[in-house]
Amino acid sequence: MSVIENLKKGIMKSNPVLVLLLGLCPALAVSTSLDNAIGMTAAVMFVLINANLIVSIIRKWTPDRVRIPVFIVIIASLVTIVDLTIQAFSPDLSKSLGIFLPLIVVNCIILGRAEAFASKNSITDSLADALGMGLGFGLALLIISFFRQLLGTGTLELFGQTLLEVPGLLDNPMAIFILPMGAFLVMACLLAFLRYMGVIANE
Amino acid sequence: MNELMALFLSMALINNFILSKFLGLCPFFGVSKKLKSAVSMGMAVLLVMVAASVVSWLLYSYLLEPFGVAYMATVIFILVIASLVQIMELAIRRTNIQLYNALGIYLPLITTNCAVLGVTFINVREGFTLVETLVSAVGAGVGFTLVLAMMSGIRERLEIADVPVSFKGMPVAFLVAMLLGISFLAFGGMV
Amino acid sequence: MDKNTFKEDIFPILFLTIVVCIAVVALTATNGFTEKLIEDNKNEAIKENLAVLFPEMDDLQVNETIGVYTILKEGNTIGYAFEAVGQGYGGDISIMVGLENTSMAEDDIIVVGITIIDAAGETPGLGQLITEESFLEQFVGVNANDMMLSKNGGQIDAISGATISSSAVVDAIHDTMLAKAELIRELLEGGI
Repeated sequence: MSVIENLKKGIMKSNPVLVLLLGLCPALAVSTSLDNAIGMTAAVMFVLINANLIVSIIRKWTPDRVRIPVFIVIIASLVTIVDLTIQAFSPDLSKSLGIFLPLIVVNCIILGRAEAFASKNSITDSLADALGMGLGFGLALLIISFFRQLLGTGTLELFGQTLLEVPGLLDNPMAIFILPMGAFLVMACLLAFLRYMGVIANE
Repeated sequence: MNELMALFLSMALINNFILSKFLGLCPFFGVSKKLKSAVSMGMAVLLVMVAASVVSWLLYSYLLEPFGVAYMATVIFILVIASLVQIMELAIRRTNIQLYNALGIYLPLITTNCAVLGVTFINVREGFTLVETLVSAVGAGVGFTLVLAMMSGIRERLEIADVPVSFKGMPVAFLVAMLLGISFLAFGGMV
Repeated sequence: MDKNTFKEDIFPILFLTIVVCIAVVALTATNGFTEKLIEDNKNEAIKENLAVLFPEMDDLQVNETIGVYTILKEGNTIGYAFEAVGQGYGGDISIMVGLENTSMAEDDIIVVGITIIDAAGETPGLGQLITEESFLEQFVGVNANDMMLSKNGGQIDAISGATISSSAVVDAIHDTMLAKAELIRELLEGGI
């Protein structure tokens, strides 16, 4: 498969969140605002790309028996590095992502890609795969948080700038979209819509 | 005693891991198609949660914190969980083959279940004592099992229900999760 | 040694050990870089919160044994501050509370103002409304005896739809301010 194809498949055809339904916990938990979605995506991208890169580099020497523990140690270390860096340079982001920052360790997307793709493919392909999967994750998060923030608060804010305000909604926002249930509702409608449009296959 | 009860209720119902904290969603949607497997999975998670919470709490309080290497927590906790899962799998296989047949296939999945790692983080971040840690782990596990079982019961019925084609399967499962979440809001006033 | 034993048993363990060692080195290095910054961030956040409550503050004393900040202006005590922690809807809420420099007798404990340090666990748009000025300004000048929600006979109106978060804040402040006032009194009397 070409590099471009590896890159593209993560974004739509096997989008980790919308199609494979992996990494749902962070996707739903932090999608209350666009800022959180972007911060989470950046953190996941860093871990995903580096994990795929390292796993792909050492794939020829990694003994099969300790494969999984080795991957876990690599991923956990990368996550800790991201966690500490965000705490140091953006304490607000670190606060609002909370335990979902260290929980990137168990994000099924990352271990899944290391195990299923990077441990068997070349460095370039692994990088393209990680980039595609990361972008796919980010795209899903942005769509979900767009609806949740807009309907749940009546405004759309990005890095402190107000992008959009809906007058009627501003005074009487539909708070359910910000509550955890809202994430399930948005996700249900989004999946059904994508299926209806034929973007992803029906069951 | 009262406070421990409140903590238990809060972890199990009010701040239910699946419905309000979004922890453990993968098994929630993956394994909740049959009631029997949902209960087995829930039990396995409960077991690992309690063991992992106690071990990671001890390591954190007596090793990581005193030596000023609390930043190693993420790496250590995930390794603790991974090894506990391995040990438990072996132990159950040796002692009770029936239990192993029921829980066996779910145990390896638990390593990457964020509910387990999540509860260990919550315990140390909230500064719980060992007893509180134990109660919070049991509460989280019971709440997880409860919701998993409820969900699977509903999904068994949904299989034969007339659902619009686009909503069949996962989307309707998300809708059910939303309704469960709304009904669990009612527990909010309990504590 | 048998070549197979090495390949099958020793090499995997050796490999894992090497990976762990590299990981430990990398983490220690990162921690070395970030430790001071993270610590600075925390202190900076505390100072910012205190400056909101006591705009004229020019110095502060940290009394670690009783967990109280003494706020100074030109060497004179103008007030005290401490952190209160309440159990909110989705985790801990931490609040910085400022007290006037009074006798600290039980009916003479008066709040200068409060700021919310951390309410990240609360629901945005609902529980997080406790960080809004309209909620916080209710606390200014309130006596310890009136530090209750208005439905319980106090002076603070809860945010509708966010009773748990509101009462978590009020209860935490009420309990902590009584405890801290006693400690401050003992401190002033030279007991500590």
